[in-house]
Amino acid sequence: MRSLLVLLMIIGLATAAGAQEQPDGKEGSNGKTSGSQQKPAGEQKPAGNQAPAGKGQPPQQPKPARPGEEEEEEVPEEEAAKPPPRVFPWRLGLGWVNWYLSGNETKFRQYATPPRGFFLYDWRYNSLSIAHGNSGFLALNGPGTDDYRGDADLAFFFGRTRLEGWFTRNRFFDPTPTLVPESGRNIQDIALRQFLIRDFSLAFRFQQNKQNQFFEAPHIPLDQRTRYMDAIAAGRLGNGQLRLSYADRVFTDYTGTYPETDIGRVQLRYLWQPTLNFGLEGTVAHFDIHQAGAPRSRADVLSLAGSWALGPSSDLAFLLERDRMSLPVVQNAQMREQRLATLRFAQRWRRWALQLGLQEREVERVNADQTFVDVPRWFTFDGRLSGRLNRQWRLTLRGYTENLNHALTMLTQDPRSLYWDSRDFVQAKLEGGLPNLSGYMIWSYRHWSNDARSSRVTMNAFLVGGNWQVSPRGSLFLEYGTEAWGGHTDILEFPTLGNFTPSNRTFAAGASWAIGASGTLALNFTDFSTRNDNPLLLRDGNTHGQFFTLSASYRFPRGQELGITISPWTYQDRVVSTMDYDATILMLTASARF
Amino acid sequence: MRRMRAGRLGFLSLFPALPLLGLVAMCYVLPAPPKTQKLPPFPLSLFAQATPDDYVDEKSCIRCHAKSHNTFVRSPHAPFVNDTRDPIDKHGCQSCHGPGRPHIAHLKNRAELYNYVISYTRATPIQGAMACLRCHADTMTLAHWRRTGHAHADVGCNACHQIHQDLEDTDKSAQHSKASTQFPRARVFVAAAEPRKLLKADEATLCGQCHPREVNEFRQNFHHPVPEGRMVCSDCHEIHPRHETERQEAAQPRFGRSQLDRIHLRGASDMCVTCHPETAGPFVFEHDPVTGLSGDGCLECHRPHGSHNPRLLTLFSRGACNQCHTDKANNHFPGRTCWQTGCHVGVHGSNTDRFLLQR
Repeated sequence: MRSLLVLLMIIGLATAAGAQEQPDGKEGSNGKTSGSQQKPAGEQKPAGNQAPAGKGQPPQQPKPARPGEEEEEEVPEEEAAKPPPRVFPWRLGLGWVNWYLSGNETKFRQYATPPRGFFLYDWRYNSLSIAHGNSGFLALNGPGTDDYRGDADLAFFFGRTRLEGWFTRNRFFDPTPTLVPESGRNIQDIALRQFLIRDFSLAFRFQQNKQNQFFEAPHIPLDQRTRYMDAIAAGRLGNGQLRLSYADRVFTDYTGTYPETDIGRVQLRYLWQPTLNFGLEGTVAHFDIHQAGAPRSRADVLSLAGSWALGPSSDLAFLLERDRMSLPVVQNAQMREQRLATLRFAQRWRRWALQLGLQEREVERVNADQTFVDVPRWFTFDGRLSGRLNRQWRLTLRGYTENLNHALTMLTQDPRSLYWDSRDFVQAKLEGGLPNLSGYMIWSYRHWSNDARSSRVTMNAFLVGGNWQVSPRGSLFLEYGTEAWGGHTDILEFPTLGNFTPSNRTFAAGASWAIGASGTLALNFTDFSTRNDNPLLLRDGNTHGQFFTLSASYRFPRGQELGITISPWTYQDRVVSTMDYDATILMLTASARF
Repeated sequence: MRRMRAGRLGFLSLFPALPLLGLVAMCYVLPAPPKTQKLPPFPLSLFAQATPDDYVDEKSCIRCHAKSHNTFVRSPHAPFVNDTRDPIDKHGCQSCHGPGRPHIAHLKNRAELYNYVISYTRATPIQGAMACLRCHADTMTLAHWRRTGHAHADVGCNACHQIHQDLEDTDKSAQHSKASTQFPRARVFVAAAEPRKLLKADEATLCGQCHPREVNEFRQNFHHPVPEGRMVCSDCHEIHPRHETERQEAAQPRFGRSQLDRIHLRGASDMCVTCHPETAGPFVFEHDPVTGLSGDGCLECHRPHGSHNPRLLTLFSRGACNQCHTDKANNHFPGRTCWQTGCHVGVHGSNTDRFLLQR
């Protein structure tokens, strides 16, 4: 009901915003713009940052024209006189869907619920009033169905007032072989920004997120609401920008499992940018955390971030941050303070670019009674090298390594450290090809280890894909990916950690064609499967899915459009067959502009 | 609780008044910084050197660029560059492409032509960013942009945004042609959410041009509902600050998150607890990986894009716990999952049980 009221209000505003003029070329846009340009030179304000330097001295050259790059069009004068084609502000689309589903509906509706039967799939309004500086966009997808969404984006007075809002409802299921009630999620979001003067604005945002989730017994359901609002004042001040904000977030759990939590934050930032090459930003923030029936908690953040262009192709960025927390509600070991320092350097050459980053993080841990425990430190080094091997191929190498430099004091029964000593990640990506035939290969490797427990988790992933532009009207796409996971600990009896590290593969293919100037045809196929020891014989461990979608559309000269989508989907669980489903979604759509 | 709320609202009502008045006053009163004599780099130099006479009637632009003009006047950008109160260098075509007269004067000289106009297909990423941020400084400044990963990787504004975007692009063959050459290829997920904010394509397709591995993860059995069109990449990733929401630190370290990330007040759209607030805490009995103490927060156990394991876990079932708690591998109720009935159902933190046996 609230969504409906918001929608009606927004429609009214948008209609008012756009009703004054349509950019159909019959009036206004060109003439008005030109009119504003035709002020006598003496009345015109001087352009930007006028320097006394003589004309004709471009200090830095833009890139030379690249081969095959689109040249600026030059159109005969008589064609220039033609008005732009007419815009139809309204679009209305109707559809009909049937799922032809057999098998497990909860798995089929795990993430979303497609519409069923007749439905209004698209209703939108687009309006521009260039002369008055107003624009309005409204869209409503699937009202009346299980899942729907509405968007509104309005601007008035040449962008000095902006209003943005959206709402959505999503219905889904916990995927189980048993019957569970339907879960739902509703979000309403509205934001307003008003420029008081050219360089100073106020912004407000409100968001409400309601979730009602049901799980397979005995997991208790969630019935919760989060309300978020913020108010931001930001503007130019001297050689920089000042930003002051207040945000408040209230979490309410209607099942009574979690206490109501209210987090408020005040933040002040100032960015000092004395030159185009240098910027320094300081932030102070204070968090206040209230929980029903619990002592009050606080957190303070102090940070300094900066960027410095050392030269036309070299950049340096850094961050220093200190987070200080007081969380008396917590009754086990916690961190009282975190200090973070990062430094990042980027260098670009003609064909290659290099990034190097360093980070040190240290955490001061305390017991519940605030007695000091220790200060573990993590040191991270990351890098990225990318560039062109030749005109066709581009290579990117990136990775990071993180090391825990200080063994933690453990207060658990087993005194061995529970934390990873090192985390390493490497990725190599090769991409490129001919203009009509391109591809990519990505290899990723991850290695996490904890020496105290001889624990290691590794991943090797490989992805290869390509796109072939068969003709200006048609293209093909193929992709194959595989992931191999491994695990090892000092426990060698079955089942080991390695028995819980399944691997998987995915395959995807797509094709699309333009049929004449009015028709399109697209095919999409995805296949995945999982290889899993699954020693507990659990569901969702050994799965195989095949999803095929074919869609075609045709647009008539007056803007009406017809579409058809056929999607045969198959999902199979090799251990728990009650999870399986087969569906063939058939959807017919028709839309018109007016 | 009621008293506490009343107090907060009272504070809130007072909060904006004085500092805001002070800010507005300072913006008015403080003298503008002295203009430096040094010429800014291209393309800002075009504006810096221009005199009012250098700005030509827009009809002069349309004479050669009618098609571009026709698409622009039907794009959402058009209303913002037509305010007569704005300075002339913020009007019409020349607000983005620079003053027209020097460009027209060099029309015969192709070698020099593009030194006197901002052509976004030829501009380097930093040049494009400098030009766009002339007007979008309220979204981010050049200093913010320089700290982003995209800037370091030489990805500029027009890599993702298409300004001359037609609201009524009715020619399917033209759309297709764009989709395969100048634009990203055909959409990767059929039901992906529609593109907004002058993006060249839907977010999954657009981001997937450079991040195919991340898009591939959405093809796995368990994933966030991006392929279904219920989420988009920017729901979690702050590509650049949005107008109406709080800004996430552009230099946010990639590794090692603080507890404050989980407590989360960086913005309504950021991070995991926006949609999973029950995991936010603080709890009486915390679980270290969840708080972020050990470094990666939620990512210690979950793969946010997609996973072949239920609940987006990195490892299957007990493996997720046993990778750290090796001593509980196969001698601690070996036939059950760790969060089965009567077991550690409060794995994200508990308010009642030290061993997380209840929520």
